[in-house]
Amino acid sequence: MPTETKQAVEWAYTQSYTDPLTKQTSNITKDMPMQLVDAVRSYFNSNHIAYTSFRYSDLQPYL
Amino acid sequence: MATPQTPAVLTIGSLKAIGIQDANSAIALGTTTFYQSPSSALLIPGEGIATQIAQTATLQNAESGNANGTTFTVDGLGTAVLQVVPSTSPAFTGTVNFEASADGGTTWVARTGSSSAAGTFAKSVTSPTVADVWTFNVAGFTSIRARTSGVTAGTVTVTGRAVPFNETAKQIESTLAGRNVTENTIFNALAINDTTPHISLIENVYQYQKLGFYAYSTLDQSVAISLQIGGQLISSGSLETWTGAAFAATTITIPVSAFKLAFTLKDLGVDVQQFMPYQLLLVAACASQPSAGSLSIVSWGVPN
Repeated sequence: MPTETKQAVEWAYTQSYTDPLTKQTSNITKDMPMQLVDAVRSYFNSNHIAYTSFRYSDLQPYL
Repeated sequence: MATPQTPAVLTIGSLKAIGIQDANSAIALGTTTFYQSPSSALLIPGEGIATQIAQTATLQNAESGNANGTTFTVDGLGTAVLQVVPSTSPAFTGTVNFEASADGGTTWVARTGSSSAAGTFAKSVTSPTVADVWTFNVAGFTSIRARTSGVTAGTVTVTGRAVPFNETAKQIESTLAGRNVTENTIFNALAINDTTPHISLIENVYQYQKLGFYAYSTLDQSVAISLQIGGQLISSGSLETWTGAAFAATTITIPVSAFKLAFTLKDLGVDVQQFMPYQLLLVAACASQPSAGSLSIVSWGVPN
């Protein structure tokens, strides 16, 4: 994982997610694997950080 | 009375173990030192044994001749997946022979695997034209290899990944439509950033009479899902002797932004009226590289 992964995870925790069914919005937490991974990936993309394919388990050391 | 010792905790990914410090058996893994003490090790409930982690190897690296290749040690592991990538220009002409050893590489025997691309079973593949992923049950064996023979043109590269028995999906017991079901997350938020195949966690499915899947994808590209099965048939005989007549591999496509897309083993080519596989895993691959999102697939099984 990139060296910026810890910062990416911390940034992800500041983001929110809106459930497409209930329309309820909540902050992203470590118990929301897809939302967390998607946010981390978004951070990597926005900051031009190179990364390879990863999954939720790859983020667990940083949670 | 013995002096109290300091417990040591090792975490590798989702695997955790606790042991009692023993200066005579310290193991350094990365930045962590693990004090191995089998007689006093404690396992975290629901976690695995820390020393059993997935192994990877390159068995053949652009091999252009007849060669045994690199031996892949799989001692203590349960399932191995080999990715065979032939050259296209010139096309690889030759045979890759899948072999296993139970005595550390002294004696080799042919070993049957299942093809992801064709859904067939074989102990070798001759002049493949496309990359393919082969799955093998390696329980009890110490090593496997992908020996090349009859090579007259091109090259072939074979990479492998082997996983322990306990790298299986975590189970959640629940009810669905009034029936008891077991849920397994076999792809948990996989952010695909390439076009190479990705394998899921292994799922033991022999205990189910029915099995289905839900797919959730936020990937900005569609992803193809195919099936790999392993182990023995429940009804008759072993995988080694089965003709594969009831199984014709079928790939399904998860579209962009799929939310709880349902599919079944039948959609993947398995006629569950004929048999239920012992184990399975899914292979996910994108034809175009996604730039955002991830993929999760959850299975639900109805126990026998």
